[in-house]
Amino acid sequence: MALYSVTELFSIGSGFKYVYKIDADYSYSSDAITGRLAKEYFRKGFINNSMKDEVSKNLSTINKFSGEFNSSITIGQNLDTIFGLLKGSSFIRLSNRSFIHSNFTKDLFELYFRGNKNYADKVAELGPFQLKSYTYQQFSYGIERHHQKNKKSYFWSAAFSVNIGQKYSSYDSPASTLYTASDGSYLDVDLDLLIRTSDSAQSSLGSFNGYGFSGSGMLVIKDEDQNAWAFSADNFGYIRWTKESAQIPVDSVFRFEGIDATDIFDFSDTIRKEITSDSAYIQSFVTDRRKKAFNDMLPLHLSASYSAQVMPGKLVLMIGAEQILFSGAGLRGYSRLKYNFKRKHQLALTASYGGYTFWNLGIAYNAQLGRSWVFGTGTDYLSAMLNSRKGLASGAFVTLEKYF
Amino acid sequence: MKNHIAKILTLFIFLNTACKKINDNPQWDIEVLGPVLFATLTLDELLADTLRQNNADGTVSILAEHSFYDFNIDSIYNIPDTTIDNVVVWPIFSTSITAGTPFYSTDNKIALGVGAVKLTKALMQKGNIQIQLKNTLPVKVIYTYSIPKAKKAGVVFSFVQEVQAADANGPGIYSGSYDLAGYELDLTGVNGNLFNTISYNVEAQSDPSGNAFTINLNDTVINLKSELSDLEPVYVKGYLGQNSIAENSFSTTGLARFIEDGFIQLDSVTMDITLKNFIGADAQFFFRSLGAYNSRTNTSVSLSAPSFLNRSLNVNRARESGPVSSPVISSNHLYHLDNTNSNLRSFVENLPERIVYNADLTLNPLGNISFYNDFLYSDKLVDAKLSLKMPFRFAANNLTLVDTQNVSLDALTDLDPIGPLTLTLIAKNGFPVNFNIHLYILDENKILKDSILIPGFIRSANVNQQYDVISSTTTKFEIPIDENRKENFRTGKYIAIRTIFNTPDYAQLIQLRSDHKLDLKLIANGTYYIR
Repeated sequence: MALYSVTELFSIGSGFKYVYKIDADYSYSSDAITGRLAKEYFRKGFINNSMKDEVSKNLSTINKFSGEFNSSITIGQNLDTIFGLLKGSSFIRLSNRSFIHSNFTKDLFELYFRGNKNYADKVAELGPFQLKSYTYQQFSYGIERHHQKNKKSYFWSAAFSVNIGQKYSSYDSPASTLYTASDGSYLDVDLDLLIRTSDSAQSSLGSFNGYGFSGSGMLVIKDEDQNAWAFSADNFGYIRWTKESAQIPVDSVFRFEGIDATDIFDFSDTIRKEITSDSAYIQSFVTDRRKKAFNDMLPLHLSASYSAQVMPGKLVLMIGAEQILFSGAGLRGYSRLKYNFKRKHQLALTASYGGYTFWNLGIAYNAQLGRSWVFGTGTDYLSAMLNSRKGLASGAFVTLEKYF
Repeated sequence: MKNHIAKILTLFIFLNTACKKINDNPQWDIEVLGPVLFATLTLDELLADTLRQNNADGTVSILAEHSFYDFNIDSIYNIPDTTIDNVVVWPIFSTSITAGTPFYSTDNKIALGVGAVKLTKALMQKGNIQIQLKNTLPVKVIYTYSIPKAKKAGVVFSFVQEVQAADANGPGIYSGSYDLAGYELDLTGVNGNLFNTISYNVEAQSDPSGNAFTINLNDTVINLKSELSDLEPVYVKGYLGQNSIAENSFSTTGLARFIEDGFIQLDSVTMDITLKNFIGADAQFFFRSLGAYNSRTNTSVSLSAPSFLNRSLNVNRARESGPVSSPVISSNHLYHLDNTNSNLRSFVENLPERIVYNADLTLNPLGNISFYNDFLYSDKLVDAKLSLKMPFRFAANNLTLVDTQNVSLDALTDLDPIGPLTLTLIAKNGFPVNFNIHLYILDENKILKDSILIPGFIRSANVNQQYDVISSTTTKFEIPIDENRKENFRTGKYIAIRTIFNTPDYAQLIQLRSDHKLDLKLIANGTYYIR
């Protein structure tokens, strides 16, 4: 979020004039859908029955998943004065952010990935269901300051961001059902669904389909032994998707008995007609399609942690918790052990529980390269990724910093 | 510094583009069970409106019309190609002709050889007049050719043509062709007392810019050849004569194209034979015979109808109404036949492929009683039409209908996402008729590629002792779809439908009603590829 980073354990960082930083991360986590299936889905590969079977074993009544991909480039500068008020640093950052999350029922997964055949003479509960995904670009300006008082050091940062919405879609259904007749002769559909999408005519990188603002803040308090409390709120804000966005409320109960093909047998007219599937059943859903602007909150990451210097300068134990608001995530708790080798290398092990998934072990490695480079990589979901068939999460991050 | 920025930017771009996608969309297979198509077919859908009459009591009658009598206008008159030479010599002593002086004018006429027909007027839809002018005089001559009684949009047919002077190589010659389409010709000659005659005028004038010359006795002053060809009037007026036109011919009903086999028995049948005379002359028909010929069984049933056959049937002349779009009010005469005055039922039950007829038509049996006011529009002469009406009450014994449609089956739907599956056709039959339907896929040479719906027997609805429908029956067919069949769908060019109809307890007559219906539903059960 801010420039505050792993460098606290390294011999560089303080006294720099500039820092260039590039980082990227992706994560996927679920309490049911395996990383293997998600990987095939997002890379548009083929999902076989074995992958589905692994997921089916995990499904409960309501399930969730989340996926995130972020990348950013940051340029920071140490300043003698910020706006003439105080001494600190400022930075600008250009980010590309994508986020998807969903709450879904067991039946919805089975129906979506296996079809309705197994639901002959059964009602499939399709709701509650929510799926939301968006991609946006973010331009941020932030300041941060480091100072000491009463043997404690304080670090805080604040950033203001302008968000450019690129692509958005959401499906929200409090309750929907599908009944398949035992012989397949009809389907009874009860749909209560709100679909919202950004302008589908333009959705590539660079498209302007919305705008908004958000703010981020971070506070770190260290005592004289360098034990630290850290609090952060990342990306508290929204995007207003433009008036070219579509809202499609669907509240419909109907029986689908196939497409009416009577007209193609109709010899009563000299003009032979053609059947049209869309006009018969699909268009009727979207008769209330309306173009309308709307606001939508961005996922807000809140976190709090405490870092204890177990072996000062060498081993740090961090315990923290984080919550993503405006999403389907649960509270995630973690503990992290960071070990510093000769102030050039750092290895971190993380154990976490919650969020969108269950227990996970993670690992991270950071290294100072030469006098002014810092490289870091790792994952919070190492255990899940090692369990390639059943793992419910995956993720990785990489960061590269250059100090001047 | 710049080098560092470039490296970082390169890495940033790499991170944003590194995730390679395997396909355009994620892919998996699902197992589907659900309805695809349905159709509810009543007689309203199966029979064209013009072939069906829904009666107030719910019964349905079949209506059918067929025009069977036709003859060529040449049977009444024919205008042959006609050539007229017109050579005129200077009849008197030598005369000096000054420049720019009309020195000779002559009226002449062309008689059209149309036989006994005496036409006074003709509106041409087609025709040419080929003119050849020869000038044997030593000076250039200007000829003006006109047909004063030929007008198009009020303008008289006329042209002016210079013909060069004769020289050592011979006379000056001009040849030209003129289109007569659209001209209205008065065929009564200069004085209006002739028939079939086109009168024209030729005037010769000396060249206004030439020199005076002397014309001597017997010098040729007009040497003209007029050739009329391809004259086809759209309308004529006059006296059309007392032509008698014999027709021994047949017309095709088209039934053989789709009836392959079987027999039917009918209830009552009525047939109205309408004779329509669009000619402005009295007409007398005399039908010697009317036959129903079935080329499949090589059987013929001759109509026995004393009130219609072998007697003179007089139809008055048509009248001219005036509107250009429909200028003729036909004179109609209707003859009603039914089971009581004919063997009509046998005639129709023979399922005729051809209506064979032997008939005479005589125009103006009473002579020229219109005083040359007969008329004729070439596109509308006489019409003899059979209008059949019968209750849809019949018995069918293996009545087999076939039809072949040229369809691009692959274009109907994208077959690629369809995996192995079974289509189930549920037929709920409310008709008191057994159907045996076969569908065939044919290649471009109409060679069989695949057979669908075997067996395709749809049992008749349940009927009571009066053969009224008391409940429908349900029949299911399973149609497996595999890769071979998909390939046949993709490459098939024709789909052939062969339906065999049988009514219960043949030859018990069964009444079809407007509330009878056949419900069809197609259900898919199998694999669908999400791609």
